[in-house]
Amino acid sequence: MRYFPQLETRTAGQYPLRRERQERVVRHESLDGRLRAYYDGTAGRVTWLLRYDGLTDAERSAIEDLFDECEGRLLDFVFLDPAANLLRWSEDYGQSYWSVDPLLLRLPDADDPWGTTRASQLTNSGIAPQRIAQTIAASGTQQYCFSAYAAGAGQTFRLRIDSGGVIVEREFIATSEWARYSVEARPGSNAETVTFSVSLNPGASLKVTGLQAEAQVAPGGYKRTTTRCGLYPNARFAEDELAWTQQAPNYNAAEIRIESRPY
Amino acid sequence: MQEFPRLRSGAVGQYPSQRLMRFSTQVMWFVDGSEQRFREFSGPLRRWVIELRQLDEEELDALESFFLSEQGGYGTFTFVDPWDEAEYEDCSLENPDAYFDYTGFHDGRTRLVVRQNR
Repeated sequence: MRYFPQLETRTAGQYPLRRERQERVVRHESLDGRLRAYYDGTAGRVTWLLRYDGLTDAERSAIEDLFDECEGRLLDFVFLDPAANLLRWSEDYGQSYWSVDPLLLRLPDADDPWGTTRASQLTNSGIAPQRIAQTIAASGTQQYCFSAYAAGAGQTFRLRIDSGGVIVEREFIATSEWARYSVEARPGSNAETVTFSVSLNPGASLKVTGLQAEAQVAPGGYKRTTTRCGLYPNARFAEDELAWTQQAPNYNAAEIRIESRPY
Repeated sequence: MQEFPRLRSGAVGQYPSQRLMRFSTQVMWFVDGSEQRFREFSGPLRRWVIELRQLDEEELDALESFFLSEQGGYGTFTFVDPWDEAEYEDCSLENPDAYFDYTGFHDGRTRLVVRQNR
């Protein structure tokens, strides 16, 4: 599969980054001001405007090679939105996207860091570590950061990223106060799936919410997700022409538009 | 019914804020120079331009999620007028497209237009 390349900063974008949402709604306004609207559910589009500045020749080549391989707008590639959560249902672990080990008890509607009840109380009632995990269809060669909010005085847990047999995990001891924990990794395997999981030691019990995976080295602001996520398997360049400006040796700039149907 | 999301500050909008009031009047001019006017709306319709800057990522994401859950301009929601706190129960987004700019760290920007329905 083709992937939109990450820069040397190990993310695909730079500030400023614009994401545009287009939804198709047919509207009819009557003379008296009443509105009738009809939603075209399959016509939505999402577009990114990536403005690059100061890219090295190697970074430029990587993007140019992909553009060449895709023949402009013709072929698609996988795009990991640098400003989105790659996981679905970031707060609802009862959804089918999540796999929960059998001895991990999950009680939703626990209090959360935002003063509402969107957290889940996880309890490992077994004698071996138990995990809650979500797997995404993305390459192990990309950079990822996995983060979670957790609370539970003295409870030990691990955040883990694994791909193609390469496992990167970090152990944390939660406190009674809510805090955000993260692990970052570039597994480097050629596998086309990456799994993000929270693992609890036997007997451990803690509150967890806001699980987020991002294609970058450090956690960004939390983005709550439901059915959609930031992984776009059929993204395309929005234009057939790619223009680069070289401002100095090894210092390149470009404006690139990428588009996809929302997922 | 959904409510238009508030920022961390509890506010709906930021300065500069724009509110529009719209009537619709049909005018017929006659050859003798006189005219007749008809009221097409039973009352005014309001519109608000919500232009936001310096949002953190969570605030910007909440607005994007709201845009998606409204399916662009299709859904309806309750909107509290940031000028006078009056509540308008039947509103929808005017813009079928919206941008969400990540201009810098904690500097998200967007622009949504809310219209009152009848």
